[in-house]
Amino acid sequence: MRLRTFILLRLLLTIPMILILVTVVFSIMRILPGDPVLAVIGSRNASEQQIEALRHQLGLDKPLYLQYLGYIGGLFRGDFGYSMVRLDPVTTELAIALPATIELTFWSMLLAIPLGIYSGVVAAKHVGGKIDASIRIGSLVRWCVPVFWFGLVLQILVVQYGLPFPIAGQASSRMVGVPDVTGLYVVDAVLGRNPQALADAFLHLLLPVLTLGTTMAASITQIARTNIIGVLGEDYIKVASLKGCTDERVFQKHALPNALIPILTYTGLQVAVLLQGAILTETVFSWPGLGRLLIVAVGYRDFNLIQGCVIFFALVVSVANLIVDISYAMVDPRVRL
Amino acid sequence: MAESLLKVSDLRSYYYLPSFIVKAIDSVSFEIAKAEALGIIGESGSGKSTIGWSVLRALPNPGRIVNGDIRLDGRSLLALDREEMRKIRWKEIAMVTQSAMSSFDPLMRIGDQIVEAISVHEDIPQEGAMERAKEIFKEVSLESSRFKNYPHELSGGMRQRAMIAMALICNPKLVIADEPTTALDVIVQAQILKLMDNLKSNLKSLSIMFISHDLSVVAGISDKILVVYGGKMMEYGTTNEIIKNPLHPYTIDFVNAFPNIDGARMSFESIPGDPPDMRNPPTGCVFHPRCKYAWTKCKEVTPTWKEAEKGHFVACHLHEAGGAWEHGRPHHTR
Amino acid sequence: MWPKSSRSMVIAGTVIIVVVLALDAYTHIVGLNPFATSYQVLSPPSFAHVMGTDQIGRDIFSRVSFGTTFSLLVAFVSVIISVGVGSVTGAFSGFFGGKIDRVTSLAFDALYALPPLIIAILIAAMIGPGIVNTGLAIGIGYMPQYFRVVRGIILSIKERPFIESTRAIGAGYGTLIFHHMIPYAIPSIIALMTLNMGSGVVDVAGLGFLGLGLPPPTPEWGTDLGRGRDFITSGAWWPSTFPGLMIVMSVLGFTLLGQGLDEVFRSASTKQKEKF
Repeated sequence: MRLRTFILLRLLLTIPMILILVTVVFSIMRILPGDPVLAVIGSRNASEQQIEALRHQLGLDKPLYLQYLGYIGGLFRGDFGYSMVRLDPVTTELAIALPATIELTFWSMLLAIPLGIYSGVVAAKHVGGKIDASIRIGSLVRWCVPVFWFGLVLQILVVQYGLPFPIAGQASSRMVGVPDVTGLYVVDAVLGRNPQALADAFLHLLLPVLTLGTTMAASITQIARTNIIGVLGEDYIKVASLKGCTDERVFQKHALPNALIPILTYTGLQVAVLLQGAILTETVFSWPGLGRLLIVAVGYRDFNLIQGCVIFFALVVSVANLIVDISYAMVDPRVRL
Repeated sequence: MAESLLKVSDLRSYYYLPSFIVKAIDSVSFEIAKAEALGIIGESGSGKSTIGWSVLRALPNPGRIVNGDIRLDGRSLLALDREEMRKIRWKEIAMVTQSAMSSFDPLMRIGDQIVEAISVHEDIPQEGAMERAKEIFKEVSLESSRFKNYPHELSGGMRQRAMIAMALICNPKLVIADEPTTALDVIVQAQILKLMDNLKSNLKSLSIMFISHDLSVVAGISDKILVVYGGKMMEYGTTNEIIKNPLHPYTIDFVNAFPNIDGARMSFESIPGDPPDMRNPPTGCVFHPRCKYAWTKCKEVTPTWKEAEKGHFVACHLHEAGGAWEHGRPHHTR
Repeated sequence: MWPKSSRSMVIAGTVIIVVVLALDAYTHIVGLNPFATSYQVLSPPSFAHVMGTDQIGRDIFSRVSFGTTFSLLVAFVSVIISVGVGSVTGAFSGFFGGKIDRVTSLAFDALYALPPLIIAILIAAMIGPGIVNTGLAIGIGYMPQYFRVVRGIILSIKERPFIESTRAIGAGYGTLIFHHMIPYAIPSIIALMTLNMGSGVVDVAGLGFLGLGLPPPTPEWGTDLGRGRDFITSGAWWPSTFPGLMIVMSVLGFTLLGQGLDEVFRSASTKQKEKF
């Protein structure tokens, strides 16, 4: 089929998928035991009237299907409801926290992808040898280290050895005075032509990015290695070599492109893992992103905010999967058939 | 006697696996003259493909050429270093393999891959290479519109033609065809064979080493045939001689296994037994466990390679002193 | 028989798991008490307390070894739940095909987009902590994996002649699926289960770290190391370090075993005679 048709179909498919996701989240939140109103009120002594008033305000006294439809309708309008604790629209809260998460994940993947692919390439080139073994063991062990513990250990090391790296937050007071254009501190510092702020932003990024980046790199290394080895064993590689291509040419023009497709596809599908990692990393380093927002919301039992965060995460992952599928079709001519 | 192009002497190639050594080829010697087609036939595991890979010095990893001499135009290929051998590959010796599907890079257009075969050897401008490629395409009856196609867009037969085109594009002196038609259905197979036959007549200086397990396919195109079994040579002679007057019991069985469509009606015999375990080959004559005419000597002594009739060689005790060969047929065992 | 690297992975993995379990057993046999508080608050590792004590004077070594029981138990529950639901739905969906299959696949594909931890956080936040609850929360997130794997295997076997002949002699759907087809999926399922024990342990710890795990005084690796965060800046590195080491060790054990098994099963099913 033609590329355009494929893209169209794939886009259309996303809608029911997102609908299912929203439904699942909605169901989990409404159907599981636990009264959200009481959860919010907590131990505060409130009168029956106040409880009922809150219930009405949240729309929880309406029948379930109306609540569901109302929520879906709201989503289409971009309305995620109101945060019960912060008393502003959920979308506002999401917008405030989003740039921090983007910054964290961007730099982490900027570290993870080249690091992972390079290690995988080196390991594949030395299959069976000591270098290969050490890279395999290294990435395996790193994969087994929980992302939050890795971050904690980095913090411990900084404290124990008195290293001059900040262990929490996105910036110290030096960011004051830098215009908030994008919310991405590095970008803003550059735009504001403030070198100290830039350095400060990077220093704060250092530990979290090391944590999340190496975590992602571990699995990328393994996938890169496996795929390159697999591709090197294919017949056309042999034929290319027989044709008289130098080893370098065989590797760069034939092996690498064929291996990169599944590697990048896999990486794209790791968005879910990336977000999970971001949640934990942000918690460890008190990084003011969406992940931490979710956890804070859970702590406050902020119903709408929790729902909003989760659905936003789900949307991001769905879009990422969509992009991966489409890119795959664009690059590999066999897929569209 | 025609000029010799390829001369292989006492070639031994072994595969060194972790727990054992497989002697894929254990002493094979033959010559291919210019413009001559040699068919090498044998069962799977007989080592026939290894011969082709060895000549190109492209044995898969655990394999190594342990002994022997391979000379192309008098020049020893084994003495060359990697870079020199790389230059010889394709330019002088090319290969057409069985798996045309997987022999092309799925991400590159066919035309580009064929042009690549030239550009890694010669410094030719893009258009010059394309021209050459288009000419070759004509030779193999492929439309030049196929240039822009990706490998998966071509049918099996077309891919095989493209492979042949790719092999010929540098005007090699020798083409090694390793089971080129095995993966194709009969009709396409016939087309490809006809094509190869035409090429052989048109390209006067082309020699072919045609490796297959299918005698009918080999017989159609080869001038001479070499029969291998268990990594050793069994028989060698002109195609006519081998088919009409096989001297080795294995060849006899082999010829009988391929019924002649317009020949006399005969019972269809297959070759009994299994191929030998190459980790632990039989003693003496490697064929003796499956040979109808084997006797004690066959188990103990390896037969020597002898010229039993003019230009017709065989390694079998039946043709040595004390052997029971009479009137073109072997006697049964004592 | 098995390729060398897989063999060593399986052995290494098993050894590590045995060590971890032994440590846990030791705690129970010797009668260490992970709940006993003392006045030695936040004391660094010493002979008396090999891993130090936490902020209310409990011995960290006892808590860490005892915690093995809980982590492994919850991880096990989560694996059972995801295998059970995921595999069966995958088998039925793949077998019956058609509309049912397309809808179910779509549903699970959508579910795949929700990261397991997020689902777990959501559910844990709603139904509260507890061994089964946490197990359920984590298990739901991993169902799609089993669904996909089993469905894939069923699809590939479905067209084979022996299935047709078994149907022809009157075998019912249940027998066909469970007795004849699922066995083909078992090696992959086992490898996946082992790997997911590892992921399960990490997720349990993750939930605990976030404060959503098993309720207080339960010794749980994630909760303990999360609680230990507050004391890092005052120099007490041990409450957060040791539970983490245990996590790494157990996950390493399961991952090595799981990947080793996966390689073994894969090489066994693709055993072909090499042509020379």
